[in-house]
Amino acid sequence: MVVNAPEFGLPEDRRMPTTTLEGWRRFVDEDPIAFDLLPEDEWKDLDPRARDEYDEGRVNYHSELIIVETPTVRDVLHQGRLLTLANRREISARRGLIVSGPWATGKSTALKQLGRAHELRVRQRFPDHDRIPVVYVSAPPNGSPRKLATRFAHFLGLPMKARHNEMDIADAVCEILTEAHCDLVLVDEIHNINMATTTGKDLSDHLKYFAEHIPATFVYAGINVQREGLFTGVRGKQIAARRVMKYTGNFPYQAEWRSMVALMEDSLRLHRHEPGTLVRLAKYLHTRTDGSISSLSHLVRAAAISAIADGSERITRPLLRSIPVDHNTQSASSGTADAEDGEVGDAA
Amino acid sequence: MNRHLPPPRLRRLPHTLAPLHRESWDSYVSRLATANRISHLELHEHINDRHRIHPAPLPLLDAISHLSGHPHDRLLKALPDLRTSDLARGLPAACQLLDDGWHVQAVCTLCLAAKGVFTGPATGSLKAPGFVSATAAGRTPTTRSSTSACCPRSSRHSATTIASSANMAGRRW
Repeated sequence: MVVNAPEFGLPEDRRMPTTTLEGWRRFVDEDPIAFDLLPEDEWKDLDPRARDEYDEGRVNYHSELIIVETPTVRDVLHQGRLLTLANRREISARRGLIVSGPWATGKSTALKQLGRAHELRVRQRFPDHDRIPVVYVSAPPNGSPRKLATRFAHFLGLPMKARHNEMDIADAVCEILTEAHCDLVLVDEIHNINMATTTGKDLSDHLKYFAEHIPATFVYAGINVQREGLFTGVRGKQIAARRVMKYTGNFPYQAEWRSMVALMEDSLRLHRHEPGTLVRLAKYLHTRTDGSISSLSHLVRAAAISAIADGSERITRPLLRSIPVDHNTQSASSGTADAEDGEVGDAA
Repeated sequence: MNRHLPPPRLRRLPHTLAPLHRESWDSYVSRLATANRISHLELHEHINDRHRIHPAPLPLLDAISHLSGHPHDRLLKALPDLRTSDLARGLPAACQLLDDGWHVQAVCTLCLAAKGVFTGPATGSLKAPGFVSATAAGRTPTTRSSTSACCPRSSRHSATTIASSANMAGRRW
């Protein structure tokens, strides 16, 4: 069998979210699905049942597709690695990293890739150790310190009762993570902490408590954090003084964009798709997605799955036009995409 | 208050331990609780949580397997009081000899320390989490326990441990 996907049909098991230790470990363990297309004659000779299974395997593959290593991801990986090394022998005032930018610009993806790379490195170095090198949590909306502590406990799978106060939970979490040699804590959705509010200040203090009691590098990601009030007041200034900022954003229409489109096109597994079609439509794709990597990924994946479903086996401009992207991008690019008709080469 | 808590799930604990040879399940659960900075009672409550959404209430062996991450056969080999006659059928003959009955028996803090299990100062009365002293529990080791679970050399080497003869594997706590 030329298909090397682990399962050929629908995945039977449901994944735990990456905000749990099991889910996180599975995310780290799983390599991207690989899928080799059958030769033309073998593909045509498949009976209907085998064809269905083959197509289901391809749908699985395209629903995941590859994670394009954008310059943002590369930069976050580099900075994160640098900081974990620099903080290795630091006793207090460890430096951290904040990834900030508009929505859907790859912040969480970059954060998770940093965590995955670090955990794989630790596993390679200490293969027999039962360590928890990375923790991934998201800051709770309108969160109290108790909610934040519970997020950490929930990641670890600690059974917590209503009678536990935040310090009980925080102490248990800090002791376990210290013992488990945790050295990278990833906190997503950090924009939920607003220093202009009392709960935001409490939450920030509690986050600082974790940062002081867990000997790890803390990396945060959130939407436009400086505008959302994370750096307001004395506490905000203290956070800003110890964090390196990395900004994410939509991509301009440059060679970099075209290379990302080419990389995505190269990963497609469609029988009739003509190589180079998407690269020729790069300008159109940029207009449709407003340069958002997240929207581009959705558009290409949805188009590939549609092409399998309708049997056309190729991505064309009319097919792309029929697929809606997210509301934000659609509003931003409304009217401009169609106006681009004729300005870029019609690939199909 | 409860609305802030995630739905209860029986998930693997972050810090797992290997069960000791012929350890009682209660002792093992207690050591798991201590290693994960929760109390013995809380872990019992967690296992018996009626509101758990996934997985639903389980037999004790499955519950301990979920929490510890160890497979059934390993737990059955190490923890004799988890065995039922059905479950013990697949075990080696040497393990099945124990299934005639158990009694609370001595454990030695020094031997445990040699295995990397530290139970507090070796004062003669065991303070080890989960290892219930026969005196403290109001029990005295039976004559059958004259040979210690770990070594027969001295009285210190025969403090307390292991299981009772009640077959508890089939019932919930």
